[in-house]
Amino acid sequence: MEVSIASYIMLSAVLFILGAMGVLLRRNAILVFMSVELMLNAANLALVAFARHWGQTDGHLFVFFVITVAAAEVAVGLALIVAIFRTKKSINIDDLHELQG
Amino acid sequence: MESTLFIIVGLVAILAAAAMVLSRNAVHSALFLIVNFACVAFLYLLLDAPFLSMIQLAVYAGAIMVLFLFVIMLLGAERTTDTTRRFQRTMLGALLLAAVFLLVIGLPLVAGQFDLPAPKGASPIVRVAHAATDIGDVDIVVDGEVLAESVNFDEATDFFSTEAGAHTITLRDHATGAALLDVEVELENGDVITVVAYGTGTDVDVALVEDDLSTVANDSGRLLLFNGYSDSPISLVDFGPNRELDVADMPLNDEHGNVLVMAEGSIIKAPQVSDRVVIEALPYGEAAFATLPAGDYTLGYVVTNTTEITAYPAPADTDGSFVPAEDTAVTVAIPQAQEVIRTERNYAVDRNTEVLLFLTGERLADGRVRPFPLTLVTDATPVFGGPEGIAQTLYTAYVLPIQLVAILLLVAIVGAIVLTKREEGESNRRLLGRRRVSKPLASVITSQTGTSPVAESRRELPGPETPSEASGD
Repeated sequence: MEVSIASYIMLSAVLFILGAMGVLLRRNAILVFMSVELMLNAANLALVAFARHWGQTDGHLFVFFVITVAAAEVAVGLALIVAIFRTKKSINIDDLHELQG
Repeated sequence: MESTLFIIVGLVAILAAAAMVLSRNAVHSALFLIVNFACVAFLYLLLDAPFLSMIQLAVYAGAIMVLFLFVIMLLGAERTTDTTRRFQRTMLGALLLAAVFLLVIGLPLVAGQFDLPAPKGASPIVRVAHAATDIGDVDIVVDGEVLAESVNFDEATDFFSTEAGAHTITLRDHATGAALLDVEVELENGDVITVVAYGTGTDVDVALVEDDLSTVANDSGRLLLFNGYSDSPISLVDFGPNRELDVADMPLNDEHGNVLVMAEGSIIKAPQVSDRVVIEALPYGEAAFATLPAGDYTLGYVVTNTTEITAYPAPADTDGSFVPAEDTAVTVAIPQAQEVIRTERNYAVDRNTEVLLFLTGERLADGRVRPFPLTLVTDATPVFGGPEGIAQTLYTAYVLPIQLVAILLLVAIVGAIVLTKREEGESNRRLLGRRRVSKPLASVITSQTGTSPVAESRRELPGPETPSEASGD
């Protein structure tokens, strides 16, 4: 039996929310970063599900680009985290609130 | 089966994601995220996206997560110390947000209000082939608009895509502009149709041949044969590669003057038992598919001639003399020996192509008609979600985005280098600090050998006896 697109979108939404919870609740910069990856992944799942629904490859290409951009983002983001850790000796984002209003 | 797999893998994905968010150990979080990514890769397989599935595993679960684990280990940040005083306040807000989001997305899905229009499928594509022996150049008009002008015999238009529904295709004489033929075509989404005009003299007919451009399994090509030549059924026979065949000296004709056996490259010899019949007994005006492994073939078009004779049963009340009564005449078809009317030597069948062969008649200068195959070769469309299909779209419609992404990656490389380069002064200091720690070892070596290993290897730095200068503070 074929799985309906609604099930995939639902799963994607649940994964996205779990990622968003991670971003909001965790104080560790690396964990926040991993949660962002989880959210990107949930969005990718929705894109692929819609691509199958419409029978068009464009959705796959967007996922391809998202993965590429995520790889670049991780490279720069982790370099930033390492740089911050060297100066602050901490990656707890509560210790980094220099822009706090 | 598929829904069972979906439920199991989806549940594992959700559990892994929750465990990742809740885990106290950053390394455990990273490992749970890898499990989640693997589950999503599996779901991509269920969603007909095998290429993305592999990319997901290689790039996400492989490269990116290794980078995460590397940084966690490098910073020694396995134990995450979440400050709890702000936790409770944010927790409430986050849960509220999650509930609202789930309601907004989930309610329509659960209540079945999520009305996506049914998938439309690909627009129908059509091409028109001119294989009618005697009507000369034609213009092809679709719904009143000229699609192609002056199409010769043995030519075809390219595929054009159109809307689903009824269309009128008109063949117009190119010289006089008079309409020769009107065809009403009813098209559905996903149709791939070749409209072929065939026949000799003014007796022109039109057939709709349904193409199959899907990818051919394994290393083989698809043949589609259309019989527009002979009233008798035509078979396509594979004589094996490079087989020598007996060649007739003179073309042989039937009683109407049509060429049955061509002089050059034709044979009279009857096919052997070992010859493989690729397409068997194809009636006039019909088409049939065959799949052949890629390679070179000697193909022959074989006609099983049936001679029709008029027979007259004897009257019942006969007195010995036979009087044929016209109203009792019956026609009986008697099969004759098979004849090869044309061969194709070293005929190459390519992988993943559809070859459409219209066997039709070509008018010779002396007025006779000889068999002539009109060949249309079309590449098979790549599999949905396969690397070939993605690359095809990527390098046609998405060239600009991929260049932008390439620039972004370049900027990311430069950015990562700049971010780490700024720390070079500090890391030098660290290096010296480590050297200072190992000073006792250096002084042991110095006392035993008489020379200082540190001073020799790094002359620009002060020796081990003046470590306070080297620290640079």
